[in-house]
Amino acid sequence: MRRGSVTLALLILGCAPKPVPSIEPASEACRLFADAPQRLATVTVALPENGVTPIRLDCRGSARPGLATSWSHDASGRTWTITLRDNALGSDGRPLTADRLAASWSERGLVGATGLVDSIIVLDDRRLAVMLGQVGDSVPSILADPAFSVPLAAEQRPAGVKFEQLTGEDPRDALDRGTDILVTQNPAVVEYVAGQPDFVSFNLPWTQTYVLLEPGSGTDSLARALSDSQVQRSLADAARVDARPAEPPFWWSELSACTAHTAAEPQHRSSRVVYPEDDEVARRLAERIVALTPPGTEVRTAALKPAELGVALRNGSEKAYVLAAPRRSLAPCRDASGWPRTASILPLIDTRDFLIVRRGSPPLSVEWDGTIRIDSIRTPGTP
Amino acid sequence: MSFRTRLFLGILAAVLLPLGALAYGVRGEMDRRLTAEYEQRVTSIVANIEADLAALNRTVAGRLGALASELSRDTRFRLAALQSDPGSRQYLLDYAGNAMRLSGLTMLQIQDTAGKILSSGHFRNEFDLVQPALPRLISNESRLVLVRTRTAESPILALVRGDSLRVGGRRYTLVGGVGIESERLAGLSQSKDLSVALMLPEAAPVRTTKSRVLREIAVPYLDLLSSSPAIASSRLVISQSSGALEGLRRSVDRWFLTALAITAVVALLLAAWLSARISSPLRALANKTSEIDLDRLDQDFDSERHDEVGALSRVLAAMTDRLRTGSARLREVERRAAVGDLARQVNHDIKNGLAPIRNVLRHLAQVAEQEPDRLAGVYIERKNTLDSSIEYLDTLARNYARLSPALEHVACDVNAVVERVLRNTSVNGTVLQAKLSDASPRVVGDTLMLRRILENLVGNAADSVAGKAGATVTVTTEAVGGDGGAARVRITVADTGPGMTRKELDQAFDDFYTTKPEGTGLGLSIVRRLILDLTGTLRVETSPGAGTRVIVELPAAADGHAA
Repeated sequence: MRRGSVTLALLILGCAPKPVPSIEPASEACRLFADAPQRLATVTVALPENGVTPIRLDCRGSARPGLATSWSHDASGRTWTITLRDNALGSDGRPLTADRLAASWSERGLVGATGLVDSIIVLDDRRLAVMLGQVGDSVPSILADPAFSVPLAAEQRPAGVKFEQLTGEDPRDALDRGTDILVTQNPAVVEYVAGQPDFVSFNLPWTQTYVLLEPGSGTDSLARALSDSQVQRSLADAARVDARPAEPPFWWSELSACTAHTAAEPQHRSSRVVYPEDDEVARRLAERIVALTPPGTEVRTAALKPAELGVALRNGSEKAYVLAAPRRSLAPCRDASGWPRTASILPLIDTRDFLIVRRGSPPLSVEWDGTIRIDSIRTPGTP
Repeated sequence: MSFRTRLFLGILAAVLLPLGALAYGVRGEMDRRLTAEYEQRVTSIVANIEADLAALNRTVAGRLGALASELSRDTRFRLAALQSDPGSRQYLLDYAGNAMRLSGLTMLQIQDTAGKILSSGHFRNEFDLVQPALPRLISNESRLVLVRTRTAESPILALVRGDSLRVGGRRYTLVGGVGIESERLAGLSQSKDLSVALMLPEAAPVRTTKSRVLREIAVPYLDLLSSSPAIASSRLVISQSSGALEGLRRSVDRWFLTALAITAVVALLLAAWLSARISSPLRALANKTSEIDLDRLDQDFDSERHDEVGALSRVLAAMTDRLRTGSARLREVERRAAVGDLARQVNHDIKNGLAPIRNVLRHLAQVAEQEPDRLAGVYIERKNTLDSSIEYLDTLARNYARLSPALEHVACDVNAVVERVLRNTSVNGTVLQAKLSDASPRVVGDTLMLRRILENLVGNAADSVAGKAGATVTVTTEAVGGDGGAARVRITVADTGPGMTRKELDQAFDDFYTTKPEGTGLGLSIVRRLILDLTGTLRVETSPGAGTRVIVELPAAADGHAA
């Protein structure tokens, strides 16, 4: 645990599997408590302003009500009847009814043969039947995927919370000018707030795994140079973030059932290890991988823009790709759809973020995918 | 080669040869001076480069020394390097990068005695790799060494040197330096037409047609990307781009060629104009002279020029006058000889005509004497013979009457003769015009001859326009010359007829040449002779479709000349 940080307080209460469709809205599971009572009436948070999904999964994977208040399945186990809460308003201020929700998902390509659900039937204003592609578990967890989120009206967001974005700004500057809550990968920020009694830092769950995709195989495989455990540990040093050697399970180990296009083997494969241009961790890992190749080899790194990277992944034309993948996936086939199917996948490191919270901020909760939520904010002085 | 061509070529040569010699000389002098200047600059640049390298060596050594001193006192470095403190691990890995940027270097590497890279500035994640060759080979060099090493993205070249420090009894090596990119090399040359290139040991020698190598400076070289690194020798090659000098030469050549071309064109035009101006009057005189013969002495050599061509024209005019006078005399002699011949011919012809008459008369005398009662009958029988003989003689007489009588030399009123001729000319639909001089010009000659000249010319003109609607024949008189020149009277007979070709004109004055069905072919021939007899000139201006102007000039009568 880093100096100055406080141990992540994950209270796992009520996380045991519950009978469907019951939920416990009052559960305190996965909540983060700063070591101080809430005293701030308004907070400025530098977090992504996410919408709401029908179902939420907390950090333990337990279902929580989101846009839906209840859900039940038929005898086949594939068709789920979802009941929406009656006070939901869309971003335009109009009631968020079942038909509007279905239309929104359909427009985004979530419904149909290539989507995440096979079909949707709108039963009434508040109920809709969703047929999944395969028999699910005790909850239709796929509906917790961010792809199914919809933005809510401003008045339905937690009162007293102001969202902002730190585009290129040093997080330390943001904290100094009044930001109360932010998420960062930079250990220097944790070091900065360690000496400030107003702030508490948390290590968030491991939410990302960096992988090396290598379409080609042979004696010059980069994976061979990374097989040594000491070398794998050095990857965490190279990344300059809070990292550990990647730990299983890995959701991509079961991609064989996925249908995906098969690109022709490229006539010429470059000697580059490429990474997304805006991902510093991927860049450092790619550099470490190149450093581990013998001197005189032609392997080198290259940053690619998102569109270029997409094309390169489809063609499998680069020697290797360093990418960040989520630690968990509700839709593995979708999340791996852009990867070359013939590539070997070598997990490199797991990474996690730091949460910086000003003391007196309202309690926060951690979602299944690492998202930070502010459920409500109490007026100071009220119990 | 004609005189005109020789003149033309001479002028061209006189202009172009000096200009070409000037261009050749200037170009050679420019070449010599530029080469000398280049040599001087190259020597200066080589000295500057060597001084720059020495200064760079001192700078890098100073910065590495400062870093080594600072590092030996750095507690976190000591913890990380000696005690492998996890909390100082990232500090150590980032140390070289931060120090490299702060000290203005582009390569910095910290290694332990085994050659393990503890921290790398130019390739941060190269840590823990073992590279013993670099500190071992660099430590013996007091000069900057050119090192080829790598970063994550590409190989780099840097001029580096080494330093060392001791911490906790262990020795650590610092190797640092500055990159040698193309911009730095370009900056060394200090000139656009001189270039400094770095030639690595494996590179081929610089041999291009575009440049020539002036100097080479040896620099130790170490290739860390090779399988067995060792110190070799690279070269900083200073070369002169021939492009700039060649460009200057081409520019000078282009300008000289442009000047030469302009001068050539001007000289060409000038030469053509001058040669034409000088030769064309001579050619005109030659053409006129070639047309002179005894029957055609009416060429006009008058000239207003005061140069040699004018003098030559006047000489030719005087010669033509003398020929004309001689020709007139010769014709007089011929005429007198012809009169003798004619007398003999008349005698012969009359005898021929009188012989039948004599025979008839003898026959009639014989019948009157022997058979008087048959006289009337015989007379009737022989009357036809008499009539034919008489008609023969009559015809003979009329033919001889056409031969010219003796000339009179009196003052003739030209206007009066013209009016009389026009009144007696029979025309059908043709307008006859007289534009007579108010000065009533007079010529020395014979009125009858003048009348015959005009009758022939007007008659011919009237015949040429016969049947043509709106046709005119105009006779003009005017006095010309005088004031230094011989006074003359010009009589012009102009018609609006079909005109003549050059060939027709050449034959028009020949005897028996005619284009008229009933013509004798003697009219213009007689006119020419009559004019020559009067020491006058005859000139014809004609062309097909433009009518004909016959210009006769006769000597004017002096005021005291008897009419």
